[in-house]
Amino acid sequence: MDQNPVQPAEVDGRAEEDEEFYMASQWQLMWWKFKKHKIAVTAVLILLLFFGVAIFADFVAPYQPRSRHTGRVLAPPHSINFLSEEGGFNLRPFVYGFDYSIDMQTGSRIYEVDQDNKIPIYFFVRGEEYELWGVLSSDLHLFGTEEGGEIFLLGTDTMGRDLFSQIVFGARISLSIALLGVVFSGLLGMIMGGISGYFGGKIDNIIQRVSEILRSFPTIPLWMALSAAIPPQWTPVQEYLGIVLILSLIGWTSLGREVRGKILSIKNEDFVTSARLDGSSTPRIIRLHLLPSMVSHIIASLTLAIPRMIIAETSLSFIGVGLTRPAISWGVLLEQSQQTRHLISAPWLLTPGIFVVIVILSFNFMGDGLRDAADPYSSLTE
Amino acid sequence: MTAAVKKTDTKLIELSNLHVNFKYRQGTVRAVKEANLDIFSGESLGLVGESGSGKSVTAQSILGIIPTPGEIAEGEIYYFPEGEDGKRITLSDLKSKGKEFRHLRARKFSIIFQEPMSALSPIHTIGNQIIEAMMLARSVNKKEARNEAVKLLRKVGIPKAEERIDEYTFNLSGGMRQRAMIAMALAGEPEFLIADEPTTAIDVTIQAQILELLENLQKDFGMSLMMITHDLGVIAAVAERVAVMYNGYIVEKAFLENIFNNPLHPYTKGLINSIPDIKKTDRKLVSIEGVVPHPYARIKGCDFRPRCEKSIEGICDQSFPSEIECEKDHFVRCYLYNELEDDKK
Amino acid sequence: MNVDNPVLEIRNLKKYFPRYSGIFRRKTGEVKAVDDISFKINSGETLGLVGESGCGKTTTGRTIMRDLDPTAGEIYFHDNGKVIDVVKLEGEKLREYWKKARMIFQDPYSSLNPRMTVLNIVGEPLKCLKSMSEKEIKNKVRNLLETVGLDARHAERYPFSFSGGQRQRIGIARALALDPELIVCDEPVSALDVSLQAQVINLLEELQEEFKLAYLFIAHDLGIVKHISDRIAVMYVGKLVEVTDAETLFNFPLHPYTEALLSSVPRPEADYELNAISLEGEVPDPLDRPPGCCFHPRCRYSQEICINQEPELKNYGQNEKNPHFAACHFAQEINLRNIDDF
Repeated sequence: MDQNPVQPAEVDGRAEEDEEFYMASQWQLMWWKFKKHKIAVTAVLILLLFFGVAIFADFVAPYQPRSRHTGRVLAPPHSINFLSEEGGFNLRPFVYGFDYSIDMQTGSRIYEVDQDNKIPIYFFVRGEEYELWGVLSSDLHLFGTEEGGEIFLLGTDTMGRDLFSQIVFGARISLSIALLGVVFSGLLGMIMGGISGYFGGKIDNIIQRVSEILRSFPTIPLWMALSAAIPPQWTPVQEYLGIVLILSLIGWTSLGREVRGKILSIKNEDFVTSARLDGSSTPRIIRLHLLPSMVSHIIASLTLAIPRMIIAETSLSFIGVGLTRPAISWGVLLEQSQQTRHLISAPWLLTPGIFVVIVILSFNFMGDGLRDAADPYSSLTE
Repeated sequence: MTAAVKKTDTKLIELSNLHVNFKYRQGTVRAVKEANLDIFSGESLGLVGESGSGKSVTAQSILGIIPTPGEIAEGEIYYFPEGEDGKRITLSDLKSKGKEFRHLRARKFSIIFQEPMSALSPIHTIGNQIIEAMMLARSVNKKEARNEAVKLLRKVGIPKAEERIDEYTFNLSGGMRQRAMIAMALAGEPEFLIADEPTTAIDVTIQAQILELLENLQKDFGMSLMMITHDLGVIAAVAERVAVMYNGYIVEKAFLENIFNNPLHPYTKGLINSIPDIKKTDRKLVSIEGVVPHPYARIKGCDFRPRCEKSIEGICDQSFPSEIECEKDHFVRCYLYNELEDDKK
Repeated sequence: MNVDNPVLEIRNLKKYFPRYSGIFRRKTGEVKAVDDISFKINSGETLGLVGESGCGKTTTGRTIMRDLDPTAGEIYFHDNGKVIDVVKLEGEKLREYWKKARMIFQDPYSSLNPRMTVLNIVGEPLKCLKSMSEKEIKNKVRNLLETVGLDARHAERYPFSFSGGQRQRIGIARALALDPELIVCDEPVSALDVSLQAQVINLLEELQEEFKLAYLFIAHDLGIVKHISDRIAVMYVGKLVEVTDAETLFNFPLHPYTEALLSSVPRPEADYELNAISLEGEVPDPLDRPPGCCFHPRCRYSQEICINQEPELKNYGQNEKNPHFAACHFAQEINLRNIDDF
């Protein structure tokens, strides 16, 4: 018999190249595990698309968000066609233009499709000028029409502004506010939870009580109260940062608890005791043992916290105490659908809500995948 | 051994070529392979094996409580109800959550676990749990059931049973919980009791009490007991017949004295030799080298071959050996004894 | 064996854990996990420390390692004729002690950081306590792995690729890293399968011979403790009740608790009949220990004096060379059964 203990690799029928598997770090294992979660991977792709759109909003949107098409107030979405009325197939998609008449009783406009006015859609066309990130000036757009044409993929609002373009620009604020909010509340949560868990005792007691009090407030009235405290003369940027601060001041508690719980459980693991007896200093134990065991869990929880932030911002802006125009976020856009009159005649005003749902679902699925992958060892041992 | 003769008479449970598989995304774990095992009326059978050997899954498959994603892939489990001559129920064909199986689990079969809190509810008094189990199994009214429950608690050695019956499980100590769980398992007066590592988590002095209790109860109730454990000492204390499992296979079956005095399979020998003898002074422990195979591993030939000192090249690496009866009621699955079989023929 | 060659000596060691309750976390009691125990371990010998769960044996081990600070008592470590007062060590001095006194843990899963390679796990003490260079560490770790029967080529692997027994070997390699004199083994085999227990026990014995190690072997399995130990200390609810050499303890027990323990161990023998002495009641709560001898409520031999007066741990040994300590008022009067009687 072989004198060496049998290696799992040999009995497994696993070949030598599986050495790569045994030498895989936690990030590699997590990546392998995450890849198997098909829905999560799809969610990541969708989110990448959204972030791409938000970053290059000026390029993706055919119009600037604030340019008005006075003749096209509350115009319905254009439908994209490939087949013309005569049955001919056009490789180049086109939309039909609108004619409108005024309803004499209500005074609202009634749009009719003008079959004779075919407006072809071109890609990489020159259109309205913009300055990307305030630096690059250009007039190139992803798609659009030639001069004189018009395209409203998702219709227009009460002021004749293209809704699609507004949603694209709104993604910037809605997504970045959520990210920033999560980063701030994450930092706050990690610091508070870390102190609470690592030192314990009285400090822990105080921090836990504070977080319990914060958690027991009903959120909407609390937001409203805090937002009301924002001075009205603030610029949109200040207002934006103010909202971020409000969201994170309330949002850190759940992450704080999670970090604390995690630290408490890891602190009692034998490998931490062992490291201390091996002469590791406290900073070294935190850096080498505590943090790496927690980072993946924290990332997963942060991802799952983003949807809460998006919803918070959307709700605040929707009820009118969050961001206000001229800032554009999805919540701000939804605000105008509050009037029932518009909801009936122009249901497309609700489309920002659909984007909110898609993004939130994607973050949730991605977070689920991350959470499953966060502890790659649970399924490897036993 | 007179008892042994009686036991070979009436079969209670029969496993025939049983295979249980757990299908995971990463692969299939073959937890139980080609298991053939008879359990006789009134006997106590010990099922020994290390973690991952499939001993618990074997027991779970009899009760129809294999956790998902496990399922019986092949083979049958038969149950021969006591006192109903010739009647045979194929358990492996019954729906595990169906009425018939639930009925059997309430009245005929029972199980106790390592962790009593997994079987006891924290929000009901122990009395109510036992009474409910009793009324489910037998046609008794609540008052009768309560009287019976007090008697039962006394029988499992819970002092001041009349008072304890109205207590919640969290008021009981570990050993008392274990006793309460045993009382609950016995509420239906089962024909067959499985004890799945019931003493692994408790201290040795309490373990001794629980083992003695189980032994006495088994005789009192005249039931069959299947003791699952990794501890050969526990086996020696309780079992009359022993089956040894390794990596999903039953590699040896025999009466207790044959297992200890004349172990045949190299794994059984290794297990016995690796335990220090508390009575004798120093001898170096003989260990089984190597490690237990990975659950997803497929081993060519005999599963024990990579750790076996006696493995024969060209024979042991071909297929898993079939079962041979080396002496009366002593079965082994090992090629070392094939010649013996050939000689007999 | 030279009796007067101690490597570790503890005197009147106590470790109490305060118990708080209520919202204001007021101190409401003390758990006397270890209460006034004394023993020594000689160089190169194994002292077994047995007892049931909660008796304070793990706390004793951790206090000796200074993972926990003792409430009272003294711990002396003898290092080449120098006597070190372990309780007073701080900072650099304490790290110096940790080179000589090491620990092996019970759970082979939780004692190895899953996110570090074996090289880094075993190399940690070399790096932190000895400041070796990367290259030296690599070579040393390879040697250590081979010493404990692992393949040195697997140093770059992560713990998940090893089985429980192999992980325990990694833990042993880590304990050996700095040529220690004393290793506190906290139930090192109780989480392992039977066939692997023997491997690890054999390895520990071989290493002891090779490196002249002293072990404090903490366990609850009497068979294993008897096998590996030169002397055995029996613990019950924070107290030592009996200390003597392994053979004497099993053949001439002096404390009724030891007798009960011996009677309870089921042995793998064909004609074995379990015939345990049934202990009445439960192990007392260390928060609320009975007065007098803490074993008296469960003791078959208990009398008036046992309730009122706590027995001292006294030497009843027949000769100088082989002391036999027991804490029982009637150690000399009652005639206890030994292992052959069960």
